[in-house]
Amino acid sequence: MTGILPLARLGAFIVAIAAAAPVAAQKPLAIDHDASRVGFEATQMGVTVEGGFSDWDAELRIDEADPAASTARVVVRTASIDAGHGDTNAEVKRGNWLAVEQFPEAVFESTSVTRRDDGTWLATGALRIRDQTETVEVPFTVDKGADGARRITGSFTIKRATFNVGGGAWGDFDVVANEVRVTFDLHARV
Amino acid sequence: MNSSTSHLSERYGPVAQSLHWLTAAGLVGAFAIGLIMVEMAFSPQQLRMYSWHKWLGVSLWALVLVRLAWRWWRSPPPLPATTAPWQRHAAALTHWGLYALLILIPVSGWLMSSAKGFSTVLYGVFPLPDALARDEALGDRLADLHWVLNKTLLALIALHVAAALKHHFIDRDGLLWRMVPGRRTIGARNP
Repeated sequence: MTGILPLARLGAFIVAIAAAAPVAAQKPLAIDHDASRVGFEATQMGVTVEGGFSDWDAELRIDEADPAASTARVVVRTASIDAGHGDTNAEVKRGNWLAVEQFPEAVFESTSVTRRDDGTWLATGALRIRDQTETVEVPFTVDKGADGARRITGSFTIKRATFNVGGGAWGDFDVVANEVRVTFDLHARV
Repeated sequence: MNSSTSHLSERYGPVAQSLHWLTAAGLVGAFAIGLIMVEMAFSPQQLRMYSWHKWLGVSLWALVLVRLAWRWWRSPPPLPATTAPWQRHAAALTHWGLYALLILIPVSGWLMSSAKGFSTVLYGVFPLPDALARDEALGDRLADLHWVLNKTLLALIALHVAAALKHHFIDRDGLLWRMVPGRRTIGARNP
Protein backbone atom coordinates (compact mmCIF):
# COMPACT_ATOMS: atom_id res chain seq x y z
CA MET A 1 0.00 0.00 0.00
CA THR A 2 2.78 2.37 0.87
CA GLY A 3 4.10 1.97 -2.68
CA ILE A 4 0.82 2.79 -4.33
CA LEU A 5 -0.20 5.82 -2.35
CA PRO A 6 2.51 8.25 -3.62
CA LEU A 7 1.73 7.17 -7.17
CA ALA A 8 -1.94 7.83 -6.66
CA ARG A 9 -1.10 11.25 -5.23
CA LEU A 10 1.10 12.01 -8.20
CA GLY A 11 -1.70 10.94 -10.53
CA ALA A 12 -4.17 13.19 -8.75
CA PHE A 13 -1.68 16.04 -8.94
CA ILE A 14 -1.22 15.62 -12.69
CA VAL A 15 -4.97 15.55 -13.21
CA ALA A 16 -5.33 18.69 -11.12
CA ILE A 17 -2.67 20.52 -13.14
CA ALA A 18 -4.18 19.44 -16.44
CA ALA A 19 -7.57 20.66 -15.33
CA ALA A 20 -6.18 23.93 -14.02
CA ALA A 21 -4.00 24.79 -17.02
CA PRO A 22 -6.63 26.30 -19.34
CA VAL A 23 -8.08 28.27 -16.46
CA ALA A 24 -4.73 29.55 -15.26
CA ALA A 25 -4.58 32.27 -17.92
CA GLN A 26 -7.93 33.53 -16.75
CA LYS A 27 -6.80 34.09 -13.21
CA PRO A 28 -6.05 37.75 -12.53
CA LEU A 29 -2.42 38.62 -12.06
CA ALA A 30 -1.19 39.00 -8.52
CA ILE A 31 -0.19 42.64 -8.52
CA ASP A 32 2.63 43.71 -6.24
CA HIS A 33 1.00 46.90 -5.08
CA ASP A 34 4.08 48.35 -3.39
CA ALA A 35 6.25 47.94 -6.47
CA SER A 36 3.59 49.29 -8.80
CA ARG A 37 2.42 52.75 -9.59
CA VAL A 38 -0.65 54.42 -11.05
CA GLY A 39 0.04 58.05 -11.75
CA PHE A 40 -0.42 61.00 -14.01
CA GLU A 41 1.44 63.94 -15.53
CA ALA A 42 -0.29 67.29 -15.74
CA THR A 43 1.18 70.43 -17.26
CA GLN A 44 1.07 73.71 -15.40
CA MET A 45 2.25 76.70 -17.44
CA GLY A 46 4.67 74.48 -19.30
CA VAL A 47 5.85 72.67 -16.18
CA THR A 48 5.22 68.94 -15.97
CA VAL A 49 3.75 68.06 -12.58
CA GLU A 50 3.76 64.40 -11.65
CA GLY A 51 1.25 62.83 -9.33
CA GLY A 52 -0.16 59.47 -8.38
CA PHE A 53 -2.75 57.48 -6.55
CA SER A 54 -2.00 55.22 -3.61
CA ASP A 55 -5.32 53.39 -3.41
CA TRP A 56 -6.30 51.38 -6.48
CA ASP A 57 -6.96 47.85 -7.61
CA ALA A 58 -6.01 46.33 -10.92
CA GLU A 59 -7.61 43.12 -12.10
CA LEU A 60 -5.59 42.07 -15.10
CA ARG A 61 -5.83 38.89 -17.09
CA ILE A 62 -3.07 38.65 -19.65
CA ASP A 63 -3.30 35.79 -22.07
CA GLU A 64 -0.28 35.65 -24.37
CA ALA A 65 -1.70 32.65 -26.24
CA ASP A 66 -5.02 34.28 -26.88
CA PRO A 67 -4.63 38.05 -26.42
CA ALA A 68 -8.29 38.71 -27.14
CA ALA A 69 -9.13 36.74 -24.01
CA SER A 70 -7.20 39.27 -21.92
CA THR A 71 -9.10 41.73 -19.79
CA ALA A 72 -8.33 44.68 -17.57
CA ARG A 73 -10.33 46.44 -14.93
CA VAL A 74 -8.69 49.13 -12.85
CA VAL A 75 -10.42 50.99 -10.04
CA VAL A 76 -8.77 54.09 -8.62
CA ARG A 77 -9.95 55.63 -5.34
CA THR A 78 -9.83 59.31 -6.21
CA ALA A 79 -9.34 60.51 -2.63
CA SER A 80 -5.91 58.84 -2.61
CA ILE A 81 -4.53 61.33 -5.11
CA ASP A 82 -1.15 62.88 -4.45
CA ALA A 83 -0.42 65.74 -6.82
CA GLY A 84 2.84 66.47 -5.04
CA HIS A 85 1.86 69.61 -3.17
CA GLY A 86 -0.40 70.29 -0.19
CA ASP A 87 -2.48 73.09 -1.70
CA THR A 88 -2.85 71.21 -4.95
CA ASN A 89 -3.95 68.04 -3.17
CA ALA A 90 -6.66 69.92 -1.31
CA GLU A 91 -7.82 71.65 -4.48
CA VAL A 92 -7.98 68.64 -6.80
CA LYS A 93 -10.24 66.77 -4.36
CA ARG A 94 -12.79 69.55 -4.44
CA GLY A 95 -15.89 69.86 -6.60
CA ASN A 96 -14.20 71.66 -9.49
CA TRP A 97 -11.80 68.79 -9.97
CA LEU A 98 -12.29 65.14 -8.96
CA ALA A 99 -15.06 65.80 -6.39
CA VAL A 100 -13.80 62.80 -4.45
CA GLU A 101 -16.71 62.63 -2.03
CA GLN A 102 -19.30 62.60 -4.77
CA PHE A 103 -17.24 60.44 -7.14
CA PRO A 104 -14.98 58.26 -5.00
CA GLU A 105 -13.92 55.97 -7.84
CA ALA A 106 -12.57 56.29 -11.34
CA VAL A 107 -12.78 53.08 -13.34
CA PHE A 108 -11.26 51.69 -16.50
CA GLU A 109 -12.78 48.54 -17.92
CA SER A 110 -11.52 47.01 -21.13
CA THR A 111 -13.87 45.96 -23.89
CA SER A 112 -11.20 44.53 -26.17
CA VAL A 113 -7.54 43.70 -25.94
CA THR A 114 -5.30 43.08 -28.92
CA ARG A 115 -1.66 42.39 -29.42
CA ARG A 116 -0.05 44.40 -32.15
CA ASP A 117 2.55 43.28 -34.68
CA ASP A 118 5.38 44.93 -32.76
CA GLY A 119 4.49 42.88 -29.71
CA THR A 120 2.94 45.73 -27.77
CA TRP A 121 -0.60 45.53 -26.52
CA LEU A 122 -3.64 47.72 -26.89
CA ALA A 123 -6.59 47.74 -24.55
CA THR A 124 -9.69 49.60 -25.62
CA GLY A 125 -12.27 50.30 -23.01
CA ALA A 126 -14.43 52.66 -21.06
CA LEU A 127 -12.86 55.16 -18.70
CA ARG A 128 -15.15 56.73 -16.15
CA ILE A 129 -14.00 59.78 -14.22
CA ARG A 130 -16.58 61.69 -12.18
CA ASP A 131 -19.84 60.90 -14.03
CA GLN A 132 -18.34 61.03 -17.51
CA THR A 133 -17.47 57.92 -19.46
CA GLU A 134 -15.32 57.94 -22.56
CA THR A 135 -13.80 55.24 -24.70
CA VAL A 136 -10.02 55.31 -24.47
CA GLU A 137 -7.22 53.35 -26.09
CA VAL A 138 -4.51 52.23 -23.72
CA PRO A 139 -1.27 50.97 -25.28
CA PHE A 140 0.92 48.94 -22.98
CA THR A 141 3.83 46.56 -22.94
CA VAL A 142 4.22 43.33 -21.05
CA ASP A 143 7.73 42.42 -20.01
CA LYS A 144 8.26 38.98 -18.68
CA GLY A 145 11.05 38.49 -16.21
CA ALA A 146 13.24 35.40 -16.14
CA ASP A 147 11.32 34.19 -13.11
CA GLY A 148 8.00 34.58 -14.89
CA ALA A 149 7.04 37.80 -13.13
CA ARG A 150 5.44 40.36 -15.39
CA ARG A 151 5.76 44.08 -15.64
CA ILE A 152 2.96 45.96 -17.40
CA THR A 153 3.69 49.56 -18.33
CA GLY A 154 1.94 52.12 -20.44
CA SER A 155 0.41 55.53 -20.68
CA PHE A 156 -2.32 57.36 -22.50
CA THR A 157 -3.45 60.94 -22.71
CA ILE A 158 -6.88 62.21 -21.81
CA LYS A 159 -8.38 65.66 -21.97
CA ARG A 160 -9.52 66.69 -18.51
CA ALA A 161 -12.37 68.82 -19.89
CA THR A 162 -13.93 65.66 -21.37
CA PHE A 163 -14.47 64.48 -17.80
CA ASN A 164 -15.41 67.89 -16.37
CA VAL A 165 -12.21 67.82 -14.32
CA GLY A 166 -10.97 71.30 -13.43
CA GLY A 167 -13.88 73.58 -14.20
CA GLY A 168 -14.77 76.99 -12.84
CA ALA A 169 -11.78 79.28 -12.45
CA TRP A 170 -9.56 76.48 -13.75
CA GLY A 171 -11.55 76.10 -16.96
CA ASP A 172 -8.98 77.93 -19.09
CA PHE A 173 -6.09 75.76 -20.13
CA ASP A 174 -3.40 78.46 -19.90
CA VAL A 175 -2.56 77.53 -16.32
CA VAL A 176 -3.36 73.82 -16.21
CA ALA A 177 -3.33 72.23 -19.64
CA ASN A 178 -6.27 70.20 -20.87
CA GLU A 179 -4.10 67.19 -21.66
CA VAL A 180 -3.26 64.90 -18.79
CA ARG A 181 -1.12 61.83 -19.26
CA VAL A 182 -2.16 58.79 -17.28
CA THR A 183 0.72 56.44 -16.52
CA PHE A 184 0.95 53.01 -15.00
CA ASP A 185 3.72 50.64 -14.08
CA LEU A 186 2.34 47.42 -12.67
CA HIS A 187 4.41 44.57 -11.32
CA ALA A 188 2.82 41.14 -11.13
CA ARG A 189 4.27 38.36 -9.06
CA VAL A 190 4.60 34.88 -10.48
CA MET B 1 39.79 120.55 -24.80
CA ASN B 2 36.09 120.35 -25.20
CA SER B 3 34.65 120.19 -21.70
CA SER B 4 31.32 118.67 -22.77
CA THR B 5 33.13 115.70 -24.32
CA SER B 6 35.10 115.07 -21.17
CA HIS B 7 31.88 115.24 -19.16
CA LEU B 8 30.18 112.86 -21.56
CA SER B 9 32.95 110.34 -21.00
CA GLU B 10 32.18 110.39 -17.28
CA ARG B 11 28.68 109.10 -17.89
CA TYR B 12 27.52 105.54 -18.23
CA GLY B 13 26.85 104.66 -21.85
CA PRO B 14 23.33 104.06 -23.18
CA VAL B 15 23.73 100.28 -22.99
CA ALA B 16 24.81 100.31 -19.33
CA GLN B 17 22.03 102.78 -18.55
CA SER B 18 19.40 100.65 -20.28
CA LEU B 19 20.56 97.50 -18.50
CA HIS B 20 20.54 99.32 -15.15
CA TRP B 21 16.99 100.64 -15.48
CA LEU B 22 15.74 97.40 -16.98
CA THR B 23 17.10 95.65 -13.87
CA ALA B 24 15.41 98.24 -11.65
CA ALA B 25 12.05 97.78 -13.39
CA GLY B 26 12.42 94.00 -13.30
CA LEU B 27 13.19 94.08 -9.59
CA VAL B 28 10.15 96.22 -8.83
CA GLY B 29 8.02 93.68 -10.71
CA ALA B 30 9.66 90.63 -9.16
CA PHE B 31 9.35 92.03 -5.62
CA ALA B 32 5.74 93.12 -6.15
CA ILE B 33 4.67 89.80 -7.67
CA GLY B 34 6.65 87.80 -5.11
CA LEU B 35 5.20 89.62 -2.12
CA ILE B 36 1.64 89.44 -3.45
CA MET B 37 1.68 85.83 -4.66
CA VAL B 38 2.69 84.34 -1.31
CA GLU B 39 -0.34 85.98 0.33
CA MET B 40 -2.81 84.81 -2.35
CA ALA B 41 -5.24 81.95 -2.00
CA PHE B 42 -4.46 78.90 -4.13
CA SER B 43 -5.95 79.76 -7.50
CA PRO B 44 -5.09 79.89 -11.19
CA GLN B 45 -4.08 83.51 -10.71
CA GLN B 46 -1.67 82.55 -7.94
CA LEU B 47 -0.06 79.91 -10.16
CA ARG B 48 0.23 82.46 -12.96
CA MET B 49 1.95 84.87 -10.55
CA TYR B 50 4.36 82.15 -9.42
CA SER B 51 5.32 81.43 -13.02
CA TRP B 52 5.72 85.12 -13.85
CA HIS B 53 7.87 85.61 -10.76
CA LYS B 54 10.10 82.71 -11.74
CA TRP B 55 10.39 83.87 -15.34
CA LEU B 56 11.24 87.37 -14.18
CA GLY B 57 13.83 86.00 -11.75
CA VAL B 58 15.56 83.91 -14.42
CA SER B 59 15.48 86.91 -16.79
CA LEU B 60 17.07 89.15 -14.15
CA TRP B 61 19.72 86.53 -13.54
CA ALA B 62 20.57 86.48 -17.25
CA LEU B 63 20.47 90.28 -17.32
CA VAL B 64 23.02 90.62 -14.54
CA LEU B 65 25.41 88.32 -16.40
CA VAL B 66 25.02 90.52 -19.46
CA ARG B 67 25.69 93.56 -17.27
CA LEU B 68 28.84 92.03 -15.82
CA ALA B 69 30.05 91.11 -19.29
CA TRP B 70 29.33 94.64 -20.49
CA ARG B 71 31.04 96.09 -17.46
CA TRP B 72 34.11 93.97 -18.14
CA TRP B 73 34.15 95.07 -21.78
CA ARG B 74 33.30 98.74 -21.16
CA SER B 75 34.67 99.94 -17.84
CA PRO B 76 32.26 102.13 -15.92
CA PRO B 77 33.14 105.84 -15.78
CA PRO B 78 35.50 106.63 -12.91
CA LEU B 79 34.12 108.30 -9.81
CA PRO B 80 34.86 112.03 -9.51
CA ALA B 81 38.41 112.64 -8.23
CA THR B 82 36.93 114.38 -5.22
CA THR B 83 35.22 111.21 -3.96
CA ALA B 84 36.42 110.32 -0.47
CA PRO B 85 38.14 106.92 -0.15
CA TRP B 86 35.52 105.58 2.29
CA GLN B 87 32.83 106.50 -0.23
CA ARG B 88 34.73 104.69 -2.98
CA HIS B 89 34.93 101.60 -0.81
CA ALA B 90 31.29 101.86 0.22
CA ALA B 91 30.20 102.26 -3.38
CA ALA B 92 32.30 99.31 -4.54
CA LEU B 93 31.03 97.08 -1.73
CA THR B 94 27.44 98.02 -2.40
CA HIS B 95 27.73 97.48 -6.15
CA TRP B 96 29.46 94.12 -5.89
CA GLY B 97 27.01 93.11 -3.17
CA LEU B 98 24.14 93.98 -5.48
CA TYR B 99 25.67 91.99 -8.34
CA ALA B 100 26.28 89.00 -6.07
CA LEU B 101 22.72 89.03 -4.75
CA LEU B 102 21.25 89.45 -8.23
CA ILE B 103 23.05 86.23 -9.17
CA LEU B 104 22.40 84.31 -5.95
CA ILE B 105 18.73 85.15 -5.44
CA PRO B 106 17.38 83.67 -8.68
CA VAL B 107 19.58 80.61 -8.10
CA SER B 108 18.14 80.17 -4.59
CA GLY B 109 14.62 80.50 -6.01
CA TRP B 110 15.32 77.97 -8.74
CA LEU B 111 16.81 75.51 -6.22
CA MET B 112 13.86 76.04 -3.85
CA SER B 113 11.38 75.40 -6.62
CA SER B 114 13.30 72.35 -7.69
CA ALA B 115 13.42 70.94 -4.15
CA LYS B 116 9.72 71.56 -3.75
CA GLY B 117 9.11 69.43 -6.84
CA PHE B 118 8.43 72.13 -9.41
CA SER B 119 10.66 72.51 -12.40
CA THR B 120 11.22 75.91 -13.89
CA VAL B 121 10.19 76.28 -17.51
CA LEU B 122 11.21 79.73 -18.66
CA TYR B 123 8.28 81.54 -20.32
CA GLY B 124 6.51 78.17 -20.30
CA VAL B 125 8.78 77.09 -23.16
CA PHE B 126 12.39 76.53 -22.11
CA PRO B 127 12.82 73.92 -19.38
CA LEU B 128 15.63 74.50 -16.90
CA PRO B 129 17.28 71.42 -15.46
CA ASP B 130 16.24 70.25 -12.02
CA ALA B 131 19.27 70.56 -9.79
CA LEU B 132 17.78 68.91 -6.74
CA ALA B 133 15.71 65.85 -6.01
CA ARG B 134 12.44 66.50 -4.31
CA ASP B 135 13.00 67.29 -0.63
CA GLU B 136 10.30 69.27 1.15
CA ALA B 137 12.45 70.15 4.18
CA LEU B 138 15.32 71.35 1.99
CA GLY B 139 12.79 73.32 -0.06
CA ASP B 140 11.61 75.11 3.08
CA ARG B 141 15.19 75.96 4.07
CA LEU B 142 15.87 77.30 0.58
CA ALA B 143 12.69 79.36 0.82
CA ASP B 144 14.06 80.90 4.03
CA LEU B 145 17.37 81.54 2.29
CA HIS B 146 15.58 83.14 -0.68
CA TRP B 147 13.76 85.48 1.71
CA VAL B 148 16.87 86.40 3.73
CA LEU B 149 18.84 87.13 0.55
CA ASN B 150 15.97 89.27 -0.70
CA LYS B 151 15.80 91.25 2.54
CA THR B 152 19.55 91.84 2.19
CA LEU B 153 19.01 92.93 -1.40
CA LEU B 154 16.27 95.34 -0.31
CA ALA B 155 18.63 96.80 2.30
CA LEU B 156 21.42 97.24 -0.27
CA ILE B 157 19.00 98.79 -2.79
CA ALA B 158 17.84 101.19 -0.08
CA LEU B 159 21.47 102.13 0.58
CA HIS B 160 22.17 102.46 -3.17
CA VAL B 161 19.13 104.71 -3.70
CA ALA B 162 19.81 106.73 -0.54
CA ALA B 163 23.40 107.35 -1.67
CA ALA B 164 22.25 108.43 -5.13
CA LEU B 165 19.67 110.79 -3.66
CA LYS B 166 22.20 112.15 -1.18
CA HIS B 167 24.60 112.95 -4.02
CA HIS B 168 21.78 114.54 -5.97
CA PHE B 169 19.97 116.58 -3.34
CA ILE B 170 22.55 117.19 -0.63
CA ASP B 171 25.95 117.15 -2.36
CA ARG B 172 24.38 118.41 -5.61
CA ASP B 173 27.33 116.90 -7.48
CA GLY B 174 25.29 115.62 -10.42
CA LEU B 175 26.47 112.06 -9.92
CA LEU B 176 22.96 110.72 -10.49
CA TRP B 177 22.90 112.09 -14.05
CA ARG B 178 25.61 109.62 -15.01
CA MET B 179 22.93 106.95 -15.04
CA VAL B 180 20.10 108.98 -16.55
CA PRO B 181 19.62 108.67 -20.30
CA GLY B 182 19.46 111.77 -22.44
CA ARG B 183 21.28 114.22 -20.16
CA ARG B 184 24.29 115.70 -21.80
CA THR B 185 25.41 117.88 -18.95
CA ILE B 186 26.55 116.76 -15.57
CA GLY B 187 24.71 118.56 -12.86
CA ALA B 188 25.85 121.55 -10.89
CA ARG B 189 29.37 121.59 -12.26
CA ASN B 190 28.04 122.18 -15.74
CA PRO B 191 24.51 123.50 -15.43
